[in-house]
Amino acid sequence: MSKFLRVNMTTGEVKFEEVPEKYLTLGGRGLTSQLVLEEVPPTCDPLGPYNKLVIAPGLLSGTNAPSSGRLSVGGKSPLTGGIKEANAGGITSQKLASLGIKAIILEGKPAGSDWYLLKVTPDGAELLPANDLAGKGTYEVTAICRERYGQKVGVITIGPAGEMLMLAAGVTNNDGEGNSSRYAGRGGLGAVMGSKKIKAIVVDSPATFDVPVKEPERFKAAARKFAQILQSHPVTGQGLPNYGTNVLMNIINEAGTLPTRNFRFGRFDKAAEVSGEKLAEVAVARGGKATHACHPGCVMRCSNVYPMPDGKVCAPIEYETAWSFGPNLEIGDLDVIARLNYICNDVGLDTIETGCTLGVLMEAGVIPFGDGEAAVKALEEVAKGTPLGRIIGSGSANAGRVYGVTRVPAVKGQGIPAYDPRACKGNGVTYATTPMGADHTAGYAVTANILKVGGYVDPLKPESQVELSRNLQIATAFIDSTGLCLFVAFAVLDNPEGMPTIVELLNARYGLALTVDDALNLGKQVLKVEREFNLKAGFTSADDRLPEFFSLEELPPHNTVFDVKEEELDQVFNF
Amino acid sequence: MPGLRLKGEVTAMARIELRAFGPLMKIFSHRGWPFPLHVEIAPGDTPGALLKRLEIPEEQVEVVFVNGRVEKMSHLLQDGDRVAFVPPGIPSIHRVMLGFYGKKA
Repeated sequence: MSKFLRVNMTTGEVKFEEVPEKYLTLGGRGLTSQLVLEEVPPTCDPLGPYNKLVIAPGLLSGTNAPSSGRLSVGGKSPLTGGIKEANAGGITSQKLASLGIKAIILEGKPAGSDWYLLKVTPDGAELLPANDLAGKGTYEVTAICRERYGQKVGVITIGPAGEMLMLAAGVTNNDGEGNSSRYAGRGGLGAVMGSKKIKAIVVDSPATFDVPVKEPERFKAAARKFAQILQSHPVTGQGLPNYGTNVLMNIINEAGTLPTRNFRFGRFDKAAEVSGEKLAEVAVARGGKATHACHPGCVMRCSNVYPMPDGKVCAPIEYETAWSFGPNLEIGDLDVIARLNYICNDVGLDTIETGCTLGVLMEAGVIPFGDGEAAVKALEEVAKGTPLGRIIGSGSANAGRVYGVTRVPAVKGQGIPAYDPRACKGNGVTYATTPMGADHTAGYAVTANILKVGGYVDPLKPESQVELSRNLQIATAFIDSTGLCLFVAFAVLDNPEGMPTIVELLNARYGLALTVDDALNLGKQVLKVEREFNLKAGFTSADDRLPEFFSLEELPPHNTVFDVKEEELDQVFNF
Repeated sequence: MPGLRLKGEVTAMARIELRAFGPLMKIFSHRGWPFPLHVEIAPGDTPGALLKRLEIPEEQVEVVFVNGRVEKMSHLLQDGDRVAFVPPGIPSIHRVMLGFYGKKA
């Protein structure tokens, strides 16, 4: 029987609840966003007692459907002031699902200064004292918990940044090797967990793939077919397994849309030095791995293991992180990027936001562009909680205000990732309008037939970008609800049998009779729910805009500005 | 190889600058080509013709960038163009956003 685990931090009460019927067909992002809309007052203080942190496996997590172990973490974002769903890999989603837990809901706020650990096992759940873990980095916390509770446990935790309620703090969990690097990074949900005084959640489940399935034979056939679809598509069968996401570095650079020097240029002359091709070469030469699965049962294995010169391991270095600490800061050295990435993982910060913030500090002249050692030194201030460290941990928009910088790449207070909206305008529409604040995964899923965009949309022109972005956002919201990795999107949507196969998986798992249209309607519904929360929180169309400099300053080499009209941006959610 | 001139050689011919990514980079290193490679072009040359002449297997190329834009394999090349071959399987939204779909012919 699936259940909610509700933990009230005001009273200390820990209880399991039966899941009301209306939530049974929701999971992942669909569930976290619905619960946040229904249970969190939209105008509440994100770090106060009325906000909640909701952690939910996807609808297919805990089954043997390939690449289905993604975890959704939701709440009201202290960074944006709006609704947030942050999505992570790692081993915890499948464990929660296998324990029959549809969501953990953390609510309330304790009066004292003590820290707690929530332990979840097949026998139940309990809050334990955790003052001994306070102040520690996520790698050490994870190692201690694995030592204490077993090497196979999943550990959801925050670093010192989350404890200090920094607005760019993320929530992490570990991969199969115990690296606490699988982040639900964006939007400051680590600070929400910190405000509840929960340092870690340990999930101990003997099973990974054993959730009850209504029609096992039907499910098995669909899962097999789904694996074939993934393995036969070039993205999921070749591109991702070979070089991971950082294969994008050279491509985005070639397209002239790689934000360089705090979004001043569209190409970086050292892009190849920090590319996926280079990463694979160095990682393998040092005994690391060019390919690695972030959760059991993933066939794409797009993660990597990068051994650093100091003997530590950064696993993985993703494209967006390599961009945020590389071209964005004019740093052309993978070892420096790995070090910045590792520090963020350990102290508990979102790498994209932190890279954007360091870019703003460089823009302000606080540290020089291209100076990796200065960036490392500045980032080390975060764990110490110094004024500079707290500014870095508070995100790009706040850093811009503090230092009087107007070239701040952020929407709704959240830093813009790895693709310049002036040379890839569809992305600009998504950054401007997604309820999440600038987010590269908000409109990620694609296809000509599902999207009905009918062919080519010129990335340098404003025409048709709104329709493209709308359809991408809908498909993404659906996939984020299934627990499937967003990277399945290309295989699924390029193959006419893709979407029907996911729907077949859902129907066999839950005994439903959904159609592909129902699935896309679920995607629409998720976006409506998120939009409703933001409207009630006080957002207006003025919040659905890009920073001014994108329409004023041309981006070389294409020398274009962002020129999708405001009235068109306001049509994205007209469904 | 006809039409191939290494960087630094004096020539009056029209030339393009060629790059390739992912597994295609291995073709460059196996053949000892510099990166980028400067290639002479003749009037009417296209990325498709270039692939054949340089003996780069077509099935290992999904799209071509010319001057930072995805173009068709039949696109006419000009002196000074920056050309880049992209292998199949590049992830991300940019498959759509940058026009990988609908520009293959």
